[in-house]
Amino acid sequence: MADDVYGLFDDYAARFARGERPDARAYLARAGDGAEELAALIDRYLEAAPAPAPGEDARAAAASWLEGEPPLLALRTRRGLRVDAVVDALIGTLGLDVGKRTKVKRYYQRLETGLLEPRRVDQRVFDALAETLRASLADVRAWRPRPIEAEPAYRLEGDAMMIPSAPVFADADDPERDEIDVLFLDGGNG
Amino acid sequence: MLPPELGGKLFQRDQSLDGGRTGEPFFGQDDDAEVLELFQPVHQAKNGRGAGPEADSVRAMAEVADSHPMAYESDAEDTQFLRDQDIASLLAKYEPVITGRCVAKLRGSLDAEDVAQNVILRLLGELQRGKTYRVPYRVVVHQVIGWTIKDHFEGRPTDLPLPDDWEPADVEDEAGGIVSRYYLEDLIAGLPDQTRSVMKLRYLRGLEHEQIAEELGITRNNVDQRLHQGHKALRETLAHG
Repeated sequence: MADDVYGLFDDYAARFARGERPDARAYLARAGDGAEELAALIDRYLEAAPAPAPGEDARAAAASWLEGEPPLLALRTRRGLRVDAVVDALIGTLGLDVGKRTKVKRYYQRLETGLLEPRRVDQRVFDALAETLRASLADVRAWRPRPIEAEPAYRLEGDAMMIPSAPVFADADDPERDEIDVLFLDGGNG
Repeated sequence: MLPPELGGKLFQRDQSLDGGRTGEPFFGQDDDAEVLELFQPVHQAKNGRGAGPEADSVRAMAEVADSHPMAYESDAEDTQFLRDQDIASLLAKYEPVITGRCVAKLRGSLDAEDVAQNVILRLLGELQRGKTYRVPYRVVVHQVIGWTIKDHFEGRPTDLPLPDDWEPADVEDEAGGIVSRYYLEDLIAGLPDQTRSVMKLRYLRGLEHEQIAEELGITRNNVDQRLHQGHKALRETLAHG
């Protein structure tokens, strides 16, 4: 059964006012038939309420984005963590097969460098990362890689475009597809 | 940071919008001469000095500082970010608003984040071009959100910069202030005092219901009733556009 529209709005708006990052999409999903009304309320509220000052992680993520650096990479670096430490934490927290560590690491590196579409990645991965990096990953997820504005001399043309990227991952029809593919490619809906 | 060659012409904001509340330094920087200077015009206006249209404008802003203190402080913070050319903080502050509004307007569609990204890129492009505004920066943000979403719904590309000659639409109401849609306090202005107080504590400061009850010296049940009344008023506001 859908939650009460005004209860949802009340919670969303108060969290926003406190400087949290409530996920509007999640609230709309909970509203059921009331999603239309809730969306209008949220939109109107966000237009009229002053935006809270940004937190340090949000500032750092935006600064990285402006510099053309992946915000997740910048966050990990700021925390002084190595990739292997993050990968080990992901395997432990998500209960993944230790024997597939290399695969998890490749996926993480693709996510960190902006080569993996964040919305394909299961929320549990982000929850585990948030715990490991002691951060609100919503701040990091928000900053998507900026369009590349390469000078003509640096553009890849012709055969150069055909060079395959190094890691090849399972697509939806791959019989070898496992829980790790599902976590990183299917939003956990495999 | 922006290239140094852009620095000189960036963020020349309308001085009349840079006022502040008297006797209450912002940002905890009461010994910062530049920040004090920033708010000097309003201080003069509130003490009766100055005359003419500029002084009227300053007085109007002083009233905003009194009637909409949180919006005013937020605007002052934006002004400081602009003066410091701290674009990262400015964009970080508004990104949740932009994404939230895009998700709401697009009713949760997965395109929302793409549109939000393009809003941010448009705002960034404007800042890099050295565009200046006579309205608070948040108003610019909301207008760019609106135009970008309109472009999306009308099938126009949203990843193109705004035209060089665009200007924010007029946001002044009949009294010369910024239209009410940009102030939560104005949206609930017609409500009884206590209901307004509850709404402000909940939706501007994010207090829990119990904290509001304690702060106002009323029961938790009374807080719930006031919020229910406030929600009905918001619904009316929405119904009337």
